[in-house]
Amino acid sequence: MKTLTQEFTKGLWEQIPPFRLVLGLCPTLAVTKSLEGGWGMGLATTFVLVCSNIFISALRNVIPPKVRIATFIVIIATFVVITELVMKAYTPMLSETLGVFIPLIVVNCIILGRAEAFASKNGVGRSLLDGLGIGLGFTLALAVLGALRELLGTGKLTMFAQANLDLTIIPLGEGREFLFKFMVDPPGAFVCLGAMLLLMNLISERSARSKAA
Amino acid sequence: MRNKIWFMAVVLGVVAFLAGLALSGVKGMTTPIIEKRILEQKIKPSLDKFFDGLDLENDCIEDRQVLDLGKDARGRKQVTTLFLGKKGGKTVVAALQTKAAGFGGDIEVLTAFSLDDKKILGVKTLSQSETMGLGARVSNDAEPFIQQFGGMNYSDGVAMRSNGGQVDAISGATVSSVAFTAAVNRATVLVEKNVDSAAAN
Amino acid sequence: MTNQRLVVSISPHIKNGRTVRRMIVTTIAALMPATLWGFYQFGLDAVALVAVGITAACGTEALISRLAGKTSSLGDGHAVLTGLVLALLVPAGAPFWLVIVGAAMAILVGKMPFGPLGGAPIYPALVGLLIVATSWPNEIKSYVQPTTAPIELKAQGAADAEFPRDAVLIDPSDEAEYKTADLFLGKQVGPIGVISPLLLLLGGLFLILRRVSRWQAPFGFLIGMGLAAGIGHALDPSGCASASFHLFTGSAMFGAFFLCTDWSSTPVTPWGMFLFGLIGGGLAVLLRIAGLPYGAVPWAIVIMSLATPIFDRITPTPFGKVASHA
Repeated sequence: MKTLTQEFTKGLWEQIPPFRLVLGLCPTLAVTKSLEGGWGMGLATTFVLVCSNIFISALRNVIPPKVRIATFIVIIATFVVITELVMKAYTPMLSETLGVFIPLIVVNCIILGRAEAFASKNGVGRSLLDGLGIGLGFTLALAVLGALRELLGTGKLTMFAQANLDLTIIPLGEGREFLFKFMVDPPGAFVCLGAMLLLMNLISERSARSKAA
Repeated sequence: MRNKIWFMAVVLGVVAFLAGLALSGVKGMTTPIIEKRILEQKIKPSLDKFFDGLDLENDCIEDRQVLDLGKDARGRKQVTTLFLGKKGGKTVVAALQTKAAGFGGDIEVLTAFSLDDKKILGVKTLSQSETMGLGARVSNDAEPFIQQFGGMNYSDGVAMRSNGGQVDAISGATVSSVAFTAAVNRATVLVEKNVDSAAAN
Repeated sequence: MTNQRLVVSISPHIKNGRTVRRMIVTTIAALMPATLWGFYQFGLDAVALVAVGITAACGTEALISRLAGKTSSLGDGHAVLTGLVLALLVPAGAPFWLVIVGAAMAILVGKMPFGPLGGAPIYPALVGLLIVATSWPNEIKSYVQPTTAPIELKAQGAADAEFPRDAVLIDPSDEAEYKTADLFLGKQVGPIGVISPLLLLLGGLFLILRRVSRWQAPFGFLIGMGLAAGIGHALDPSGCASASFHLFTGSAMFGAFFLCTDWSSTPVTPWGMFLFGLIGGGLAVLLRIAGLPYGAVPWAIVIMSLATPIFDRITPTPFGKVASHA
């Protein structure tokens, strides 16, 4: 049995969703054109994941096993729609950036995966920590990937477009804009994801070797 | 007990009921905010652009009217918002919101009309959930598909070129283009039917 | 792991005294006439671009080998070939950074992730070229006036010989201005190394005679292009230029003899190679007519490379073998 801290931190490295579990690749590839898209998607997913984990683990002894998936989906979809409406009302620009991928959180397999594999078997506290850890790990991964692609692709970093928090990292003089379109195009997403996987494998291999030595 | 069929039905029913309750609550809370935001951030700048240089006498946002469109097939009330611009006591321009079902959901369109010469002043996509890179191009104001509506005569309605009309589709996004055109056409019909009576009020 | 006796490496497995290094050097030698013609037509800019391309490719490869802690594979010359091919496919007016990024991407994305040599599913130079072409569609078309060309470089579009769509959409009157013989002899506008069908043909035949490449894919490609263009021209002369125009412009010859014959990204069986070329040629003409803004031949070959595993399943039946009905 893991300690509560481990329950939380496992999602940040050991089981970080897009890189280690290789789950939720559709939003990972689609919305990471910018840093803002990355963290926005990540936080929206985290909210849904935490809420659905709490409710599902609270109801785990009531939900009949035969209709559990249907029940999970109803719960998840409810929180997704709530997220969508709230984002439309309060963060309209972010909601437009993410577009159709917010409703698509319903079919994000990380969420149903955690519901089925974790929340339906563990207590509320643990499920909350699990959801928070996995969700923040997902956010972290998407934000790093988004920042990498945006930086290489456009030389800028959009922190939060609504508040005008953009940074131009690579200046190219007056009137010229840095644009490496490949990186913000879909193929660039695969290349950057591959590079991130390579980096993660390198780091864990190094740390495993230094532990063994 | 958990394997009894009635119990499953009850659990699912209760969960769905609570979900519905929560959703209607959230929707009730957010709808006015979203509408206000669309009005201020999308409709107002577009109308300012479309009606630029006309020196209208009234504030068409303030004077907006709610148009009752009757009930749809499922008996729900259908309304839309009508914006009228007056000059010399006469209604010269109008704009209204319409929607049509596209590829990924409803496309909501704002169409602005110049009533004297029966021309469309411009169109603006208010919301859409079409495919990225194809249908979603309708939300880009600089897109040729959107641009082509400006100055188009609407006295015979608007239709796709494949249907004998004057609108060229976005290649690769026929469904979205057809839906968008249908929404604009609906707006022309509504304007023809409603604006004179609205002016008389 | 130290007592491995049998090391199985990636194909080609042919063993006859030839080395990978010699095959690559032969290929580079076969490219030389066309390269020198490009230098003559476009001057020092072209020389500089080719030098930059080769340096960037070799530098990237050396850097990655160093980072990955592997012995450098620079000695086999493949990085030189990649940089050279990339630079030859770029017009002489292109900025240096375009070629540098292209060569680096070719090695970084197209070659190294798939093992140092022989594993790349797509020709690495094409990966680099298409990455920069999609990223900077204007810079990739910075053509310059060659030293000898029968017509002046007019509006960008009209003279883009490679550029499929533009090339084919030239008025019929414009097509008449291009004399077939001039095109064949290399008096035309285009990327540095691909403007001379004659010299490329000679280089390609040299490779085939030296058994570095096989004849099936290149000739399949040319036949495919010729057929598709011939049919298209017969059906609609104003929409599709003649077969000779298609074959002698753009990177058609270059693609046929130097891109369709890559060892790792094209099929290995005779029929597979022929069909690969035939369908690829047809596809290239189709892309030229039906509208890619850039590079129909490179795209056609890349698309066909992705289908290579399917072509590899077309194997000849061994003599005496009866089809089994399992």
